[in-house]
Amino acid sequence: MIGPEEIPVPGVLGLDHTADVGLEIFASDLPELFRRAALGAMWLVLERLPSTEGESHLQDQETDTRVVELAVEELDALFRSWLRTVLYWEDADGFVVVDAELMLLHTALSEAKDGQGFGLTGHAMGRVDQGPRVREIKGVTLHGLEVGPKEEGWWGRVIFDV
Amino acid sequence: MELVRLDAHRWLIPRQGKMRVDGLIFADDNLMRDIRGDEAIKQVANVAQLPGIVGRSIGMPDIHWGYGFAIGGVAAFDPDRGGVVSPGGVGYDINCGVRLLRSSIRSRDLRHRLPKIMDRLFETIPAGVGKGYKKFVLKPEDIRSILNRGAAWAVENGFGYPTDLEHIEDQGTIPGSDPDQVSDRAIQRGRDQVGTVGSGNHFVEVGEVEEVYDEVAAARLGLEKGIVTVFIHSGSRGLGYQVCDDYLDVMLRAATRYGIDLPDKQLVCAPLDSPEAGRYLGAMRAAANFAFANRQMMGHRVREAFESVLGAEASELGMGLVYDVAHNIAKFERHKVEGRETTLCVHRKGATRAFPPGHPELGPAYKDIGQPVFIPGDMGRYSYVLLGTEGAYTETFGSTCHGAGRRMSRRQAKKQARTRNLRDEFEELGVQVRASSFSTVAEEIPEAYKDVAEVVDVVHRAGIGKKVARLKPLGVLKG
Repeated sequence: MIGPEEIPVPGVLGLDHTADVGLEIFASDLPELFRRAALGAMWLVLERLPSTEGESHLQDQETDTRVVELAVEELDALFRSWLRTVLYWEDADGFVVVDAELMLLHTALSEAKDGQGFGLTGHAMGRVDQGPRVREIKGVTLHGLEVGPKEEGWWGRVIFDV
Repeated sequence: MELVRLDAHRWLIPRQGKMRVDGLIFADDNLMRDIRGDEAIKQVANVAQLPGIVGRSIGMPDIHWGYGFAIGGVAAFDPDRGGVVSPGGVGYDINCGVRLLRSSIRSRDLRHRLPKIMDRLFETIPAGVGKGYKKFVLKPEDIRSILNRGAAWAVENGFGYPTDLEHIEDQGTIPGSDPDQVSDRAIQRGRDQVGTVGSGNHFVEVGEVEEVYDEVAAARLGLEKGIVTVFIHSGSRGLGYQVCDDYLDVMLRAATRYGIDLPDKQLVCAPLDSPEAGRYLGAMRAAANFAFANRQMMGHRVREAFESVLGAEASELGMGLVYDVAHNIAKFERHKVEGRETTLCVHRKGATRAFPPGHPELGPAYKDIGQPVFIPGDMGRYSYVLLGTEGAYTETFGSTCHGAGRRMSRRQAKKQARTRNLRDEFEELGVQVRASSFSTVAEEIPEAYKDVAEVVDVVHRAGIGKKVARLKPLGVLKG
């Protein structure tokens, strides 16, 4: 194993795992943590920044916006649900998230055991990018999945199956 | 973690803490050094904590750190003792597996035409991240049919021969699939991916039989020294990944509902008699059938590529299917536990079924010799053909290893490969590589894997697999 690796997304480190890959994310608040995690996941798939590189694949492509509305019982499950959504858009439609404006809420959930949960609302901005991918992310695992406060801000960790 | 050496190839993890059964790892000293380097041993012990596990939580010699279950693990659960099914014990790539085609072509006669064959394979079998088959987008009714019928659907639609089905685990169709339990997202991801390789460690490999260890068995499999073979390694693609991902959420809630204590969240599971387990098993079998159809269609494309380059029918080229095995799956099987024969749900995550001669679930083609097992190595060295044994049946729930097993992370491998000319290196090894991205090839350099010869020697000596032949790669198509 080798140590965490800087990737060109602020506040995001690549993690080493024998067969898989992971991310460690740091941010001052939770919406920013979620935004950075999505950009980190896109980096793992593309190993390039869609907003600044691979422009030949993006000609005439305008940035599109997709609505985000997620609600689950636990914070780490919400984090996973967000990353699953972003990766599904990428895999099914080639839609690569380049930015996001998100808001986190405590919300009432009819299916939650105590009726409470976490919600994520907002918009994800991105473009359909038909350029090359370097990695297929099969799924967002629960293994080592964590989101929590750290020092002055927030920290998250996720391992992807590749 | 306490580890007790039992003999030259077996290591016991004695029941400790919350473990319900012992763990057992197959390895020699050298392989154990690698295994100790990551978290795989702990993961074998974690699986031993799950409800209803029987026998031992088993690690094969190619075991390595996974998420939740280690890759290279086998665990069997008894429904009558509260046993569970866990999507993490099957993996994201449901029914990832290996198919082997043989031929009557001598490798020396193919060398000058191999580049053309590799080019043709690269043109006709989509490979790479998320790559679909633009000319073959399935209609919803076809997807449903594939999810129910697997390889049989492919054969009925002209992709392969009816006799192929006799040479596939479960005849290429796992009964009990329930397409209604497969999400729209999964269908969407799979609609253009049947007949495609994918990326990562998946491949199509043209090779030759380099060595035969058991002439009689090899002859029965249609293998002899110097003939050309083709390996296909892939699974259920995006459809299967999505099924696993969807059911992790379902099982997380189920584990809470049924009060299951989890040492690692990725081990989420539900009792085998619960509605959640029934839904997952229905969806998992559907995805497994998708994988059988996927490999069947690629097998057909391989035959077409050889036909077009060599100008002869596949049948004239002797391109028969040796067998097709799953190495990521959960199945209900009959096994003996504490002297009593019972039905168990056997999880194999990175492990291959290896039933012995005479097993009732083997088809007529190989009932008398045992189930063929394929153990691919890395891109530069060799792979193996084995047969299932009685030892595997009694000791490992009829299972053996599935590959070389990674010893280096993908990032470590890439770092090592950064300054090298991999294309030239493979040419020097006599391997033609076609890849949609050499970034994938960098992650898959031979030294990123354990030496599969060591892995196979352990299972052979331990009696949970029997060596038949060694194959050498000549050309590899990667994603």
